[in-house]
Amino acid sequence: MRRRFPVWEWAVIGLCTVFFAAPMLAMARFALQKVPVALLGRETLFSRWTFSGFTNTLADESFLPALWLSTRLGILTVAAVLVLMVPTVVWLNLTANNWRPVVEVASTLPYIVPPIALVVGVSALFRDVAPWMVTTDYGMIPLYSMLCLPFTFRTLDAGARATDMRTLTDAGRNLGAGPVVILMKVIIPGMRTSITAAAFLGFAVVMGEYAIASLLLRRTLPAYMVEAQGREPQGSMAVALALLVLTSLIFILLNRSDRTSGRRDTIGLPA
Amino acid sequence: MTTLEYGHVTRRFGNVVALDDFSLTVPGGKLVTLLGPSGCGKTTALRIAAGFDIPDGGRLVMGGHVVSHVPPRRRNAGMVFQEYSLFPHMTVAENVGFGLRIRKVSPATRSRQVSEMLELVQIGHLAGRYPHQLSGGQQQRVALARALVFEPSVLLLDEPLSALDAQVRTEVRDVIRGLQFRLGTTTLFVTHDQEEAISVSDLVCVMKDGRPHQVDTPENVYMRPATEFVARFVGETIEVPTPRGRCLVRPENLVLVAPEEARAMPGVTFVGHATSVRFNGSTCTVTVAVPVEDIVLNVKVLPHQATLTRVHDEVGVVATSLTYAL
Ligand SMILES: Nc1ncnc2c1ncn2[C@@H]1O[C@H](COP(=O)(O)OP(=O)(O)OP(=O)(O)O)[C@@H](O)[C@H]1O
Ligand SMILES: [Mg+2]
Repeated sequence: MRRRFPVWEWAVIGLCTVFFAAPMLAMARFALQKVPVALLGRETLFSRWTFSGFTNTLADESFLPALWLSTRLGILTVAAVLVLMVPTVVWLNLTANNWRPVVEVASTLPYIVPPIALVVGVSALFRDVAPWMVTTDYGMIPLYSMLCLPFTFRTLDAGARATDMRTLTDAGRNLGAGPVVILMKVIIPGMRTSITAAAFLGFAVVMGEYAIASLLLRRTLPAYMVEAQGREPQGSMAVALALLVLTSLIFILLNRSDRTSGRRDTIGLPA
Repeated sequence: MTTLEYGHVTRRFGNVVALDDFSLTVPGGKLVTLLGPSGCGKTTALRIAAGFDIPDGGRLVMGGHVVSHVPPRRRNAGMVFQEYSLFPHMTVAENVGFGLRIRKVSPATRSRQVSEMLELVQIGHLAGRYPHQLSGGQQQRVALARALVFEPSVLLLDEPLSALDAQVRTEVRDVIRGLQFRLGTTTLFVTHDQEEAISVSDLVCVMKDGRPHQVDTPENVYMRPATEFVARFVGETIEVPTPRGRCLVRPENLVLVAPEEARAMPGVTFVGHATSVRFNGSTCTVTVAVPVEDIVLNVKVLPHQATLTRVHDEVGVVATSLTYAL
């Protein structure tokens, strides 16, 4: 029997592609064509494409510091979150299964607490005890770590559950390994894919966070982009587009490497 | 060679008593199986030997030392788990070498010992593969190699064959027995399969509800069961009436004879009618209904003998030996 052409499947794939690609194409035209917005129509499709949006932004002296600040914050936040969450997830999966609901609820708090409440609460609480949390750039790391929790916790937990951590730990102990060796040589390598995914998601959250940064008056990349939108709309749109494309590419690559290495654990994205 | 000894070990989980005053000695260099139905405490006994679980009462002695509270990594016990337990991100060789690496064995010695051990379990050619590229039987061979390569003082096997299909099961079983015999490692083997227990062990410990019912050679456990539970759990039994009360007999101890012969013979005999003749491969089963005693006997006979018997024929049955008197 001949297989029927999967009309519906392709229709869905097509719709999704349009849904994601159309805004990106529109962004690209807006950012990269030196044509007045009112004239962006079918007949101007190929006229006056230019990278001046990028070059203007790169030339702006406050752009690179903002990018660099966001990158540093991203890396440090990811490091902090992993140091905190990997052992937590391991502990949950090995001995404290009944604590899982508590951690799950705690990790969704950032969805519930609005940024303004977070910032006001934190500054009210810590202004006297730990003034650096309100006044320095790195003071945002604890806030950003919280903000990443819903994504990183779920990703790490899914990765941990995909392996039989209990048995692997017992096997390690039986072979003579101590807790540190088991964590570093058995458990973490087994969760490698989900750790990479969690790190990437956390980094993406920090690179895109605007509300907290603007409330605390920090010049991060998103804060810069919002501010630059007034001065240089096309330039800031070009940067936004570049970030979007880069993010998607890294994501596709992550998924790829996961599939080609043929491993059983999944990238474990939060549902 | 290390002797492993459970002395009155008790382990409770809430109000479930997993091990109840459990005593057993595994003599140095021998292979002892723990045989019993699901939930009788076999895994618990093994986890206590490995150090994953601590007894609530009693003690565990290994090579003359009380080790009840020694952590697993200091026990030098190799274990093969019921579930697949290979480290997924390591190759076969790295998995097997893990215990040696922990023990700081030099890389050269390590790789020699690993390849020797892989040859012994007959998978030398798979050293570079990852666990997900192996079949179930191959994975358990690797697990066995990993548990034996650092020359443990005891080997603990928790139903290592239960996830394998029949043919691979016998293959891996023979590998285990061959290797154990050759290396002389004191071994405790857990199974709920009585045939497996009988065919690999020096001693079988049949247990139920956390207590050993009989610790004996496979022959004795099968032919001279100590309790009714052992008689019924190990092998098939048929309950028959005898002049001295009801008894359990094994089907192979029932012999088909001519009816007048059965009437003339002393001892435990029956006369009835054949109700069916079934072919099972190497043997046939003749079902005999005995009206006087109101019982049905399944008699195992050789195929050529079965051809002499037709359904509805009058036949005699003689019990050559009785396995257990109830
Ligand atoms: N961690 C635990 N918590 C609570 N109860 C447990 C635990 N481990 C075992 N038990 C109980 O102890 C009893 C013995 O369990 P065990 O796993 O030793 O049985 P088993 O003989 O290995 O069974 P199986 O053949 O099914 O593997 C069972 O009733 C089980 O429910
Ligand atoms: Mg078990």
